[in-house]
Amino acid sequence: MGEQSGIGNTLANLPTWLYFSLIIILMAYITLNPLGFPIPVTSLTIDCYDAIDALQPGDIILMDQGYGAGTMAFHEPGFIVVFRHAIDKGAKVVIVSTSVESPMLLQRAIDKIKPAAKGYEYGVDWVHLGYVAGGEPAYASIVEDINNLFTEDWEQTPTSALPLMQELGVPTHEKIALVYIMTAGGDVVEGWIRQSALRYDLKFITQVNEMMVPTILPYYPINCDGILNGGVGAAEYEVYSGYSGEAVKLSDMMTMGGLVVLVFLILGNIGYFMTKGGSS
Amino acid sequence: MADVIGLWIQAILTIMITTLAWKDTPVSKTAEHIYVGVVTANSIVMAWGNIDSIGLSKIFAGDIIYILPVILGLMAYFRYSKENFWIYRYPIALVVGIGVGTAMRGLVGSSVIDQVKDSFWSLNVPGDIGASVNNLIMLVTLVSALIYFLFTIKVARGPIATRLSTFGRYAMMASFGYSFANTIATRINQYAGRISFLVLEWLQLG
Amino acid sequence: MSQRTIRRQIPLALTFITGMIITFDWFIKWEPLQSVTKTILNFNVVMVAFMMGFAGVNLIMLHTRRIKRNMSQNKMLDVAISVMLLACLIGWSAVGIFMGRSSDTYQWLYSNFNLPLSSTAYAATLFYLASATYRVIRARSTETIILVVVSIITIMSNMPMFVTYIPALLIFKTWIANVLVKASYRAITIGVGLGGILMGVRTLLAMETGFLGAVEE
Repeated sequence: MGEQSGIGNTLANLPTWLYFSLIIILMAYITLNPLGFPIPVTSLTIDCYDAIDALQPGDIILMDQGYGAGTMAFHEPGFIVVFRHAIDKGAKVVIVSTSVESPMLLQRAIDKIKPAAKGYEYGVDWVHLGYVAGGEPAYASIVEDINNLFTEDWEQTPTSALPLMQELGVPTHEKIALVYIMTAGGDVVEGWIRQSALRYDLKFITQVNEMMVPTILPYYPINCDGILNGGVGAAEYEVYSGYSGEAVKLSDMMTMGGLVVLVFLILGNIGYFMTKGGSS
Repeated sequence: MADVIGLWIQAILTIMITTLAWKDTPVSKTAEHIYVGVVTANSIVMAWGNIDSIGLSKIFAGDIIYILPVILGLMAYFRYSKENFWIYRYPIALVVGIGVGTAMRGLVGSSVIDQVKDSFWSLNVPGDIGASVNNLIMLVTLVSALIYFLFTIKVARGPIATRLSTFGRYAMMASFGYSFANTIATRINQYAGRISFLVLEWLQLG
Repeated sequence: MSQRTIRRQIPLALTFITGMIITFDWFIKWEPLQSVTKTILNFNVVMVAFMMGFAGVNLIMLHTRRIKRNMSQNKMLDVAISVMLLACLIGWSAVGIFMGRSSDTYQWLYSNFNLPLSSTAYAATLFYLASATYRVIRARSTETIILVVVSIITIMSNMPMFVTYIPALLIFKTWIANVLVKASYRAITIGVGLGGILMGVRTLLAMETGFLGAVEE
């Protein structure tokens, strides 16, 4: 019993540096030597895919590229794969940002998508309007009359000179076929749901980080037509759509990091029960 | 050259701020302070962009009424004055009224009515006993979780309600377990991006 | 007009009026009302943008006080760190405002400073989470046993390695999400919704006045 509690004590009190370094080392190892396990695709992702796949050429998607550097690792692949799919469907894209960091992150995603190489012209097929402050009142303003709010785009070109913006007109929501929100904030998704999906019955899909998915699940499928489950969802979309991207590589690193956390969760509880058994 | 310098700056800052998780040292404090400074500056730059493009540009284009939000916005800075603090209340009152009105008008529909409407699950799905059982479990979970939150109503303390409340608690713990696991996935995915940068772009091992 | 009217009651009345205009716009399709609402919503963007400057002002006030205090106590390292913060704040803001937020210079500064710091600061919470998972999450009672078991199954089902060999994990995870999580969080959503409506009504009716700040009367 004493020996058990000795082992138990050790298991329950492993040094912090051990699991910190294991996480870093194993994730770094997997970056160089990916495992390549197949990724199963869930219905939430298939519904997102179907929403984009149902678009006709010329349909307009309103995208809120509302992620920051903190969640860029998985939101960027989600943005890239959906944009690519939209290009293949001939759908036009209007990008706004409700996070202060997002506009600065767009160019790196666009450099990977290369819309110009696929015949997509800026101002005609896609526009980037930049950041808008104000939260939910701003979302309401965007879906009502986007040209009244944005007089210029991110590069400070007047929106009156951009054919896609003129196509949107008033009320803007009548020209929007789909709303796609990428964010780490559940309140942002809920705000967009209220102002777009609920009010004007617009088709609505979102990519949130994994920990926000439970908050958004009650809205699915009544107001929200699909949810991409963070990095896992982005990887599933890449697999399902056939576009290779960064998210699939992330899933292997997820496996390794998750394995370390899982092992230490189990070890900590084993150590607890062994010491509890020893003391009782 | 600028790219190489930039790459090294990124790598050094990544390592510096990671040490914050280890211990509070002058290195991590420096990185933390730089982080706060640059992030706040970025907010100011983006805010200025909105003031310029939505406020000032409209004024110069002839829409004089947009002088009002500019004046109100400047009035907000009276929050730093002890004698004239009350002037700050005008813009904040408007922002709060607009925000509350915008959110509240949709809350009734999205968070209450639509949620309740969608909760009338069929308990007898023809030919699919699994779906019927699932719907029953969902209904019991929903009702018991709602009862769990009803602290003030007396009936919530009766024997049946207490048992339902306990089941609701267990169901919520299962949900929180799911949520916790997803939180771990989120954090791992976030750090995976940084590891990927350090290994592939900085050290160029792959 | 008394001071109380000017300093308190008029702002509260403005909250009520703007809130009511925005709310009525949802239910009543009337062109003049829609036009007023659109303008008010755009005004909100500009006012909120001004208020985003508070963070910068607060930082400047806080760190100038700290610099004075630390200099008097001869803590030169803390002085240097505060000076660095203010230099970054003012420098970055100046570049972004005067050279343009979409300029190459500002993009370079953002990509090489903001990006790694922001992304790593969020990502480093993984270590706190791992530490908490190891040291705090204990299956002590029925509730925590359920939490631990469901967590373990969900973590495993998020990893393709386990799902490849144990497909039942994914079925179980999907069942938990679509049945238990959806129902539980629906209850929370309804509760939060009702609470939000209540708070909104109280705010518009001037029963909640905390947003006005300290009462000086």
